[in-house]
Amino acid sequence: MSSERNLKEQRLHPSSLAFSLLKYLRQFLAPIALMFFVSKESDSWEIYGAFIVLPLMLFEAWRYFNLRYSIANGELIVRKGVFFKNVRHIPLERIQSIDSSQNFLHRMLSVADVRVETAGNTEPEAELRVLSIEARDQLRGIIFTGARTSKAAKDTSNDQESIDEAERFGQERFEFHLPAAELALLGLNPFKGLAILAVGAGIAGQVGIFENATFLGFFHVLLEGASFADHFSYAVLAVFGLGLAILTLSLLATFTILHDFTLTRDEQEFRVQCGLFTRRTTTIPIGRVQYVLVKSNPVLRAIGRSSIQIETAGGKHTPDDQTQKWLMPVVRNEYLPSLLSAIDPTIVLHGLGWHSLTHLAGRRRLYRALRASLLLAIVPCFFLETWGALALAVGLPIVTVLLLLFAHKSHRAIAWAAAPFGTLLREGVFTKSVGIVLAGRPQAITLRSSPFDRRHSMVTFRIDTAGAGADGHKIKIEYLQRDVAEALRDQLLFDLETKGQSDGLVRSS
Amino acid sequence: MNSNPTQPVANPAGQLADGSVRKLPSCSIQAEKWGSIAVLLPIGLALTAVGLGLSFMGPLDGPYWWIPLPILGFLFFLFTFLAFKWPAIQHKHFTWSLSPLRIEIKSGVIWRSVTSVPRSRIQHTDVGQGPIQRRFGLSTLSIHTAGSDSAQVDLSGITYEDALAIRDYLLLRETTTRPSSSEQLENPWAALVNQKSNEL
Repeated sequence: MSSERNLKEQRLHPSSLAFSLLKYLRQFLAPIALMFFVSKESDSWEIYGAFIVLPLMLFEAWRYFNLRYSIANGELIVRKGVFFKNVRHIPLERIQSIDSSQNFLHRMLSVADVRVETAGNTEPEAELRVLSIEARDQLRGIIFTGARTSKAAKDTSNDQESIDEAERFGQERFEFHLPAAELALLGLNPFKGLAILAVGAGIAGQVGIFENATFLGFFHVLLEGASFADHFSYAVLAVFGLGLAILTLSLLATFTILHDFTLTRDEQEFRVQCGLFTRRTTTIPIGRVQYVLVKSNPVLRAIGRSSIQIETAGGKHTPDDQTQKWLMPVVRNEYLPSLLSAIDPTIVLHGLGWHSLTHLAGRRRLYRALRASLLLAIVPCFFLETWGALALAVGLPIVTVLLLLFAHKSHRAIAWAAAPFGTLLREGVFTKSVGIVLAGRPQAITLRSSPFDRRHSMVTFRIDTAGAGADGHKIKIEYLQRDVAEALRDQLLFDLETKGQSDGLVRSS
Repeated sequence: MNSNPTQPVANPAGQLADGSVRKLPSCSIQAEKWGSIAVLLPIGLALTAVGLGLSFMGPLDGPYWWIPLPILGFLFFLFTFLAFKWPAIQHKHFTWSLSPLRIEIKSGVIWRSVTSVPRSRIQHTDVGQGPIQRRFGLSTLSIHTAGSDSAQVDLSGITYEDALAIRDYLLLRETTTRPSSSEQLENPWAALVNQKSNEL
């Protein structure tokens, strides 16, 4: 067994030098270009500065190229450095996931950027830029023993073509390609398009488009209704155009990021592959999943689909690393149970004892909405002369009603449950979600209370896991009664101390 | 509590780990005071200089010269309060307790929080002493977990000896005698199931 898990010292792929040079070049390109432009007329020292940077860059790239890696005694050993030798030993069982990504250039040379992640680090533990595809698969196979090559998975999946999808997700091995039509469903999410448009508007504002008189004039006509009939067709066109642009952008974004989304299960690991330009592969040992989130926006819900995200303790994801957490961006609701049981066979979402919050909690949420709308009312008060009065008279009641309605709905939506496989929180009005912190995964539990909370003997209950990324995926229940929160906390701590002896990063068998 | 004779550390934390709620030593108030003064005094002096400069050196000529003075007065009271009264109030609301299962820290005056860290989840601990804490024989015990929000939980202001003892106790893993689940651990699950939270 242990001899199988050894690997002689390997070098990176020869093209590594070129890739690391490219990376540094990209880093320095902007500053160098800037220097060049700034100092064009006064031919000052900045130009020479650029030439000093170049050898440094070369050295850095060379240093990186000098990297060697091997596996021995259950450890991944990475040596690098020219003058200062750096040897890093990473115990194989500490490795949370292995990611690889390929852009066009990588694919042409059939190499990949490989990142090895352990828990609790913002940066990958080892970054192997770049390995050949074979070397990557070899490394992955050795690190996650029991993992076969993806070829084996393919063979079995071919046999299973006739089997029902739902059954397929229950298999030890499967490979699932997300059809493009399903991806389109995800891309139809109007909110995503809006977000992109907002970014676009922000950029446009920075550039100064909104100061353009004619552009603003168009909106004046639109808003003031002057000779509206003349401009009606324009308005309709504009609205349609906007909608179309949003949808197109959203679709484009979805298709580029999630192109040919493939989920492979190979006994004890999931492998997720996607991307049009940069192809990413994430390998996640199933036992390392910390947190599962089942989400559905209104569009997905209407057609009976959901999406599943998972979090491991590996690398705290940056916001642009969207693809990392998808287990399945779109999945038919009827396949959900078998896919969830692939993560943990004991997960069932039906027949759970969901606990809602009290009436008092709902009322406090309403009060909060009222406070928010009062706060909103302050702004138009400063503009009573112009548009403020109108906004107060018409806008404020509408906004208040909407906020109250939203508060009421979100109160109704919130429910938590404690099950043998973990703690669940259901919430959301438009995008509904069920978050699951798997059993044995909580790292710390915090009960927080404001003076108002204490008056009503309530707390904000929070479970911290190693998988709560930067975007705050975690279980956080506001306005929970103190005694319930304390009981739940004691229960969770009891479970942790009596069952799992591990540090909660791996599933204890 | 620690009956294992092979344990090299004479472990006074065995007595600390009885689950009772403990306060920080009262000298930690003094340490906090000095710490606050060390931070607030330079800020206060700088603000005073700016305020007086604004009032008497020209920029606020005319009828508005007095405006910085009440602000300075208010800041004076605020800073005095923060430096001399606040540490005692904080101290009143800060407790910690250590049991064989977990360490629990209660803190906060207005927003209060109770953080429970199971012993098995602790990755490593640091014991640190700032210059003021050293003067009072106090220290800060930082407990690191693999979590995200509460990745670091600080217990600041305990005596240095306590910090070392707690550290040793927390990091003894399976060598200590865990309470057998029947005697010390009452399963709170039953209580939870019967919770009235279902009443909506």
